Amino acid sequence: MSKSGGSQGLISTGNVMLGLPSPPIEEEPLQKDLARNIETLKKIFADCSDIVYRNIQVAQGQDAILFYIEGIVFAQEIEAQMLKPLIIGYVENEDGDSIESPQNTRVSLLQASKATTWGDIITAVINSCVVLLIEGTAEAHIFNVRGGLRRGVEEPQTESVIRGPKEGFTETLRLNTALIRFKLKTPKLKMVNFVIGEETKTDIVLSYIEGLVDPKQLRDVTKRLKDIKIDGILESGYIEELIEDHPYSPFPQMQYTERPDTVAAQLLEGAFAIVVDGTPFVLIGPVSLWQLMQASEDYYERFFISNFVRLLRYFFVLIAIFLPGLYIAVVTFHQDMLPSRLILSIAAAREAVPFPVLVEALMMEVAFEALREAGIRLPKTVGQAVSILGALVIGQAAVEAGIVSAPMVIIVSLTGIASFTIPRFNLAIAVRLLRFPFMIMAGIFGLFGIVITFVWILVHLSQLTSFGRPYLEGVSPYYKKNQKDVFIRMPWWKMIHRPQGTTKENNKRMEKGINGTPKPEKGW
Amino acid sequence: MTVTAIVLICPVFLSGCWDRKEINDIAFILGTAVDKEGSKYRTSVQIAVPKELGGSIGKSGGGKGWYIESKLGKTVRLSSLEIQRNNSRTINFSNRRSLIIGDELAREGISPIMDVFTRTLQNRLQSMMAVTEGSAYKILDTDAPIEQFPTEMVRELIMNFTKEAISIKSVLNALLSDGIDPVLPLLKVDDSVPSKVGEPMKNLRIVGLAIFKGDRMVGTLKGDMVKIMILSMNQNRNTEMSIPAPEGEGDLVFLFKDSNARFVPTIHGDDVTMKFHIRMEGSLVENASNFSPTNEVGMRKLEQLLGDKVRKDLIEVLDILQNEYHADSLGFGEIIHQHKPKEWDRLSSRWKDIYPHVKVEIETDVQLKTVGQALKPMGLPQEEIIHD
Repeated sequence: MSKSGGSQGLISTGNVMLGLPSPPIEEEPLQKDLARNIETLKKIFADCSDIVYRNIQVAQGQDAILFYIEGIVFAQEIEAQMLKPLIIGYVENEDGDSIESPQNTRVSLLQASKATTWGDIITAVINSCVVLLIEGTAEAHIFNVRGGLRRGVEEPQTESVIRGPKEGFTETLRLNTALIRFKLKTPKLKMVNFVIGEETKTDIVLSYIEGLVDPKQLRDVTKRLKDIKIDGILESGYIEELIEDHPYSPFPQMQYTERPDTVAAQLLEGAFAIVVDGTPFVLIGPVSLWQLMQASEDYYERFFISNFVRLLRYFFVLIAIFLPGLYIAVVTFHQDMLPSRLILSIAAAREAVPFPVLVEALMMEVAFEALREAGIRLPKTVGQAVSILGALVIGQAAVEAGIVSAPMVIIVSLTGIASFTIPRFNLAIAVRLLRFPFMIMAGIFGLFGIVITFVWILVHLSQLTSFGRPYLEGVSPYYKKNQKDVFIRMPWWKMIHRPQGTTKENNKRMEKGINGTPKPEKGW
Repeated sequence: MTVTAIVLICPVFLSGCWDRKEINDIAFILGTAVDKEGSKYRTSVQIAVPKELGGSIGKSGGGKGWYIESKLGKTVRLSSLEIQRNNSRTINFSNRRSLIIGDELAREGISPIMDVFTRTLQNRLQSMMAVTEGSAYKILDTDAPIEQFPTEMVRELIMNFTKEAISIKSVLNALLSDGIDPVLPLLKVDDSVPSKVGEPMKNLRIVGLAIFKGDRMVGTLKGDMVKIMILSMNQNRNTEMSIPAPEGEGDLVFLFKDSNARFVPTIHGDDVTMKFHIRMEGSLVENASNFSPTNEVGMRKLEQLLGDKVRKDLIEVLDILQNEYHADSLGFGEIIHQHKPKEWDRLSSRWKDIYPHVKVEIETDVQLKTVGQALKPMGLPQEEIIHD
């Protein structure tokens, strides 16, 4: 085997091959003989029906081959910018010199490079490049013609707002980074590239604003990302679970969002974002519990409304966690806590129910969760049937049959509504999960059980960190400045500083003196 | 981590008794009536029957929603235990609406039974308390058609009777304080309509006040005397008073929503004088006479007459309280205690003897408001109206 060609066997691109058991073919250099190269190529991509080979002749009748994967490249571009110039160039220039570097002389495509090993070629082809091999050279010419049909920018499905931008991320990484760049037009916005997944080769971008992000944290995240060795990353959830601080906590330690404006806002407060190719959900970290209770619209509506809505949300979170447990505790232990008429109504409603309250409540809550799950998974066309069945079966019919009491239906519905007021779905799920321990403890120990469970959760929350930052940051440890945006939101002209904790230096976000009372010019 | 876990799990199992009780294994007692029969106490309780209360099962309408259980015992607690033996569900006192005491027991003294109503945790001190004419258990068996339970009706009646409702707590306060004797509402079973009109339902009403001296009931006050008592105790909610027209014939009725009464003691040796001042604001609610007080002079005249009536009634009430019942229901002793603690230290031991000789100087200030309202009797032609 001749060892001609440039730097042999060196994997020089940024796309690091991760931990493959180094089959020799990856490191083998290209041959000068085109036929042998094609043979190797067909061996590597055996049974890959989506790979396209196109034989052409370039200058001086040299045989050449173009190959790419169909569907992920921009086919029209290949035709117009590669095939035509190469073929026409050959026809017009029949006695010309051999082609040394087509990317400089013939092909008008933006991104072009060369490769000499099979490993680089493979990486290039699966990353939507077209590779040109020419008889007599041990060099492959690589042209990036990324394309293919993917979803365009649409309104986010999971985070809709009344007021605020309606654009959402898509499955295309570069479109997503562009959407962030549209919001933050500064070179300080950095986008560091990673490729994770031995088979998926998923592009991942770590984005942050230089000068705002904590450098220590950045190093930490970079290390955690680099340490990931996995065959595939199909969704940002993989990354989240692989890099979070406390994998055994029910509480989400990263926020995910479909909204570029949310990402931009968090980046401006010193957070970092992880954009994963192939999913519209961008991860944001570090995150505190309070951030997960904030909706983007809190900052777009006037602050009276925002505060009202935010306080309402906090109130309903408490309902979502405590209400079923409280009901069970009061009805099985503390009958003297309720007004007489109320307790008698409950007693009357429960008279025909054959189960203890705890069993009744668990039944109903599980049924509700099942209904919710079915509603998400079912095809939209049968969705209506589910809601009708659910309303009838776990609502009216169960009450009329005397299996479930009417107050319990009210409690379950109210809890369900309450859990939907939490703006972040991952926190909402955690809250929904947590109410089961509350219910069971309330059923066994009454109010005392609720208090104990609450203390447990509080202890856990106090220990919890997100990328080294306390989960309850702002309240515990208490930062006075952060109170402007935890339970309430102060008007924008009062929030001069960025939240303490995430950003230490450079934490001023606006000039003082812009207050809410500009005076109209005189003469009106 | 393990230490934390152990510390967190310990309190669950180290903190006391397990008292889980499903709501449908509990018999809620809505009201208790206590009577004395010979040397024994008869405790009668009204127990809610949830399945008759009409929840969601649609079985309602049939029953009354409650039944009465009545047992004799040496003490209230023992008779309650007898009731428990008759019942498959645990009786629970925490939602008792009212506690009713028969007048026979009240006259013998209520102290022996008060202990049980305060000792156990389930008992609520906010339960309303009243005395009945005759046996107390009869109250439990009335129809009280407008409320869910007769005891609920008792509660509502008492709550509307005075500004601060008379509950177990307030009775205990009066019992335990120096220089004031408790006053309880007096209940009576009353027919809703006269039998000639139709089948009467048994209803309830407050007919007066039971006057206690210490823990013993010594008598009752009824009619207009109740109104003046409530006014002087500063417990007025809505008192209506009627006076005959100063000229012409018929009566005028006034409603007093706002009043303020206070006693100020002056003491010289053993001579105690209470200066009583009452300010009442009211309006005319019915003019069933042919008198028309359309101007200032007429109004002043009516105010004068009302003041005189208050004075006359109060003198009558005080006479009964001081000389017949010897009960310090208005709390003169307590007022002296608060205003002149040193004098009270001197007088308190002999207060029983001094009280009947306390003089009261009465000063009234009646103000009729809403002059703009039509004051003329509406149904009479102009010529028949007598103007002042």
